[in-house]
Amino acid sequence: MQNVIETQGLCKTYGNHFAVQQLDLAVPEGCVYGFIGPNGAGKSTTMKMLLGLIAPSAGKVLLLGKEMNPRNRLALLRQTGSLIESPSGYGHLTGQENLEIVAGLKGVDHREIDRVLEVVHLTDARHRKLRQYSLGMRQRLGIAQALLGSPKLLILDEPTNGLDPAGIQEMRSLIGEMPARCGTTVLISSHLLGEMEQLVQQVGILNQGKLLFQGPLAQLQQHSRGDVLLRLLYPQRGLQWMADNGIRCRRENDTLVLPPMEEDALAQLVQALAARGAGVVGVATRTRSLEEIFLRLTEGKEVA
Amino acid sequence: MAVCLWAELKKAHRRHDLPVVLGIGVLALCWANTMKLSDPASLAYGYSMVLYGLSIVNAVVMPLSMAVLGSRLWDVEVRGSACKLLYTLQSRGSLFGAKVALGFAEVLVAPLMELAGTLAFGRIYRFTEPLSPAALGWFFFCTLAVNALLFFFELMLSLFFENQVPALGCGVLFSMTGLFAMFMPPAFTRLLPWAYYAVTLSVGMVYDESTRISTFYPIPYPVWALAVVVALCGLVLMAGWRLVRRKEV
Repeated sequence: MQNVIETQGLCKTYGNHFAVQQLDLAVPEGCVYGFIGPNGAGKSTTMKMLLGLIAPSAGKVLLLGKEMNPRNRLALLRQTGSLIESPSGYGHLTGQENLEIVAGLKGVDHREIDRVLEVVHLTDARHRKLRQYSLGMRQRLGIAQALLGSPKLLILDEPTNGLDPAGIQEMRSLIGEMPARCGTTVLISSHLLGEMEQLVQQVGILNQGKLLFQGPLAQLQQHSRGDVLLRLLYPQRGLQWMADNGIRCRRENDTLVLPPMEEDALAQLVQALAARGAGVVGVATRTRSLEEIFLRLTEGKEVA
Repeated sequence: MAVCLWAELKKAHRRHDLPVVLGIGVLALCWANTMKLSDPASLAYGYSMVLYGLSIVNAVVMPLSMAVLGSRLWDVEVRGSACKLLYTLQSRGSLFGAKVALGFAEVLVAPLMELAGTLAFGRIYRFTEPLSPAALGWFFFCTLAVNALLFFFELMLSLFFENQVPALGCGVLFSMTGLFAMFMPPAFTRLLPWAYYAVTLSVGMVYDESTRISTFYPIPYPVWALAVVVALCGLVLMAGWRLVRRKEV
């Protein structure tokens, strides 16, 4: 699978401070890539460098398979849509007029406007002035601007910022369907991890300008097994057996909580507890949420 | 560049740019009309009196007006958080060039109106002074050049600070000091670019306190002053372009 975005040793420094440090990003074609990190991690700076809005201190940016330089930058960006930080738009103009300006500057047929308005469900509000739009509507108009020209790549920086839960849900479904509906690859940043978990297939975790993890979300989750929960009829017997065999665990009511372990070892453990008469009635693995994984990574702990 | 200019015109829609630029010209002419132009003693040097009077009016009206025009032109991008989108669609050079072109067109309106107004005053009040096309042309180009200088300077301030208060503050300050600068020693006045409405004057005035009559006389065109203004225009434009080119958004 070709990478739609690739960076090699990308750095951005402000004085002695590294905002982004040796970043090697690889965003495969046709996916929604979640770019996750706390505030100040360097997500927006990276995205701005991808769009040529700020100049990297070192390193290369490859968009759509080509190294971006001042000569081909605009040609590459014509195949890209972006929404950085907050949606752009002129309050004294209508939604339709704002889109006309962007379409004109992008060299896109104005008939495209009807399509993108429909995609973001703003057809009925197209003739209202932007200053009368709610924040959610502005965000959707920002997405519509980004979608003009059917770009191969969408770069969205925290597009759900400031939205209410219904708006977030709407935005999530809108973005999630982009690859299938428009064949668009989406790079989306957020610090709302729960939201990302439901949306992305690939993930990159950034902290203090450094990429801590990059790969499929499933791989991250697979490598991030949570505790094992054993529900027993006679937990005291189980606890005693554990202590006798030097296995660390803790009791929560009728459940013993064990650290993550391989499946073979777990099967043997269950068999032994059953033979001891502990009455195993339930085995479950607690899956760490992306949030927990993220916190462990950003706190410098290895992912188990 | 053409598409950027088209976009600028689209943005100007409902921003009421035309009424604002027409209003500036009307204000200057109305103020000039308060001079005693119909006074029989004035008719013999009517055109000189209008050009002299308009220069004083311009020194007060134009700095603030240019600040309003310059800051409005950039403020629309700041309020709309538009730069980070625009810079991905077109080159910064084209976008800046379009702003400069539209701004220059807006700046052009007031001197054109003053030119037409001067001619109209001559017809209405039946000035007996012969019309000097060269003096009128000189007045037009000098007013346009100083207006453009102030406009580009205010635009640059807007680019630099994003907040429009410094640009408007400078406009107010220039307007207040511009008038007084006309009555200060010439060496001092020449140091203030916004006072060049007076420095570039091709008409001199003598006021006789005993008779309370002002007489006007032609003075050689201060070509060097126009050259200074044009050179400063170029410098300010280059500084503005440098800001746009290098500013990270």
